Amino acid sequence: MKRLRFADALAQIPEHRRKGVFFVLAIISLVAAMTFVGMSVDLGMITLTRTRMQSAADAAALGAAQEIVVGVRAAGNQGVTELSLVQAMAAQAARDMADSIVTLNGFYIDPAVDVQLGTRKLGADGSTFVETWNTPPYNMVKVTIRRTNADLTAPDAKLPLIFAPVVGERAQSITTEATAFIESRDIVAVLDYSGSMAFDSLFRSDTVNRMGQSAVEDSLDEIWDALVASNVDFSNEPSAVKFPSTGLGLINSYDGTYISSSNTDTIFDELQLGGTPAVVANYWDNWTPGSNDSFSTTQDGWKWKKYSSGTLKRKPASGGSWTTVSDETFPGYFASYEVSPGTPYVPFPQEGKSGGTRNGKPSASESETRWKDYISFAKNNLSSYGYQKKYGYRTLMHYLIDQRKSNNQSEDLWRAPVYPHHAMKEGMTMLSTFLDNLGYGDQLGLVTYATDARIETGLWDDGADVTVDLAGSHLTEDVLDIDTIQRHKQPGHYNQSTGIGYGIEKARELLDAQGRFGAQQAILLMTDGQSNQYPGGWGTDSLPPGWDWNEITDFDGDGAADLVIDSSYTSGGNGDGNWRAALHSFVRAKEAFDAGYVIHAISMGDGADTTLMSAIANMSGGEYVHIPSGATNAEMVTNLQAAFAVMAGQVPPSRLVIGDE
Amino acid sequence: MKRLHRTIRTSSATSRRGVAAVEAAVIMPVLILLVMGTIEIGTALRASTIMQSATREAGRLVNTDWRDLVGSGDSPNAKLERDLRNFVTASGLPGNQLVITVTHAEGDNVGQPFDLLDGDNQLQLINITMTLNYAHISLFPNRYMGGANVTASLIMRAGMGGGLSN
Repeated sequence: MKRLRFADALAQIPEHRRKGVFFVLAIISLVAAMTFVGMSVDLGMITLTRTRMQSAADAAALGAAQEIVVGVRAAGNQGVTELSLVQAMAAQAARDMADSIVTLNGFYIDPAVDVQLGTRKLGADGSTFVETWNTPPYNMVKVTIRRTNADLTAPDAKLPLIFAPVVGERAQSITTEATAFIESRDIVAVLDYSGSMAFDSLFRSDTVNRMGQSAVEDSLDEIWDALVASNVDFSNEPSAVKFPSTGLGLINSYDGTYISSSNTDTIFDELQLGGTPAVVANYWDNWTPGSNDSFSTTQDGWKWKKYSSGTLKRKPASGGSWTTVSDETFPGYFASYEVSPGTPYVPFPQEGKSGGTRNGKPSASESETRWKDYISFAKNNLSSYGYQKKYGYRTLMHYLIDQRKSNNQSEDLWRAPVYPHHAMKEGMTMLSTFLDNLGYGDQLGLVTYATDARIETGLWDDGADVTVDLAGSHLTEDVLDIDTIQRHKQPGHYNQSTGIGYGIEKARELLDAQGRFGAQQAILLMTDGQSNQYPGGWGTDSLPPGWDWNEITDFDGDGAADLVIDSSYTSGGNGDGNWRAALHSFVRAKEAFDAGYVIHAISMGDGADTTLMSAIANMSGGEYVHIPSGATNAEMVTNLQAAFAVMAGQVPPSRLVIGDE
Repeated sequence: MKRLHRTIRTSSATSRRGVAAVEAAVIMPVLILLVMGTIEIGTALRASTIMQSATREAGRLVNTDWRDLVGSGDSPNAKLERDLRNFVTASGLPGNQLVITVTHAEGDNVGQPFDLLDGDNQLQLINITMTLNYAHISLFPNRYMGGANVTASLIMRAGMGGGLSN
């Protein structure tokens, strides 16, 4: 059709005037074509330049945010918890890094203006983010590359256009920006609350061989001193101190009173733990005729005299004459006085709990039973350390920690530094403080395990002096609440054994229920022992379908499993482990990993199953730290604090915020 | 005049036949060249943009903690190269013809190959450059642009995966 119309139009032009018409048409269409070509080339150039600028902005934002990651990780590695300075330095380093990356990519920024730092936190709903700019803490970097300067010789000049000047616009301004940030984390600490977490404060052969006997003695002394210093009273008798600085009966020295007897009752009496009755006398009975044949005293405003003949006389103390009185009138006859005051029974210093409530000061008979249990322990044990039959603070503390360690038996042991549990406490405090100071909106939860495991939901332990209610938010941004809870627990708080698998199971449950979608989820697993608790009947038949060791534990990439847990599994350590329990733990860890959770692992002490713990970390891509049994408890504290700080510093690598082109 | 006119008229009827063809013959090569040039430039710009996007998207691997992303038996350098090629191929260009260099972008080793596995290279600046010979993408079987290359490069920072086992 078109061609026909064009031909018609051409036909209307007189033939002689049609000469050169093709040239005219060609030039018109050439100009039009040139304009379109120019526009398309310019548009292409603009798109290409924008892409290049966006690439550079992305690279710069990511590289700059890494400075913060590096700074925080270094702080963790060095155990620095004062993070404001770290962040300030990282902020400057971030600006410099962004500048150098942008420059190398051939663009220009003013680092002071075009690099912005801020905080990006997950909102309470767990899916939207709250961003604040230019106030620390920093976990977000925005880099803006501009080509907006009208001065075409400036480094940030607009993009000069080739053809578009024809229609007036000589240069195109382009701005791109990219934001990189460090994700918040949801961390669940899974802590070992088994009885072995008290081993480094006990007379045990491996502890004494490693640290020396005096170190154990010092530790027990420290525990006694801490309990005395706590000045804790019986719950129903606020004036009665449980651990008086003067001691308990004749248990009044660190070293102890040696009593050779093997008879518990005798020892009980000798230690004066049942108390002694007051020695009471009266004047009459006590009267011994003196040289003047009389006994005299002053009482109730009278002077009294009793003669050997039996005659009784009195006169006012202020003076006057003696008068004879009757037997009944003579007060000294009836008034008794204490020759020696006697002593009350010594209450056993721990009340114990029933149904979570303290029992109150033990009665005389309850105390006697408990004291005798202590005596029969002390008279029969600890001979290798020279403490058999020595009744003092050290054996008493050893007895409490070794024989009555649960919180239901000894409600105050959390007040004392019992190792290595105390080192773990210090480590957790380090972690909480670090996260709190970091201010990236990280959440912390706590799972404690021994024979079984539980998600800690608050602190309502009777006798803990303080309560914490996490109010359903068991993963909480109030990380110091978690610290408060764990500071008030003792080794073997609930029960004694080691069920690592149960701990991991609970941690996964917590993350499943309360983990935030926009956060990196991690489990921080800690143990000093070997798993020995598992569901009945657990074995290789319990492996999930499709389980392939060659795939799951092929850590070195040679196609073959580096670890297989079956009935032949042994892992050294303290030898109380069980392959079924180890298998249970590993399978639970794999399930947690499959649910998207990284597991960082810390094993401590020579009794720990390092094979299992490193495999769990390796399998899930987590960090693994092993802390060998220390030569001293102080060393353990330092090492544990360092390990927890390293974990706290493991902020995820920076990533780009999606969707702000 | 009348005769002349007639002569011209008569001659024009015969001799002017083909003038349009001559004009067309003069103009058409220019037009065709213009159209082809436009297409070639468009192709080049498109290739360049795609390749630049590839460095942006696939290159981000080097910045991450790639340990969880690189399978066992694989290396981050190999994965990077593969990702770049795949991205370009998926966008309709011959990714297998790309020449990819991954080098140090600064310092003493500038220009030397950059090994992401090397722990010393953590957090160093890295230059990813891709070159594609134009002959591979030209729509026309000419040699005019045969020697020209389309290049995309991006300088970014390596992540913290280096030196750690995956």
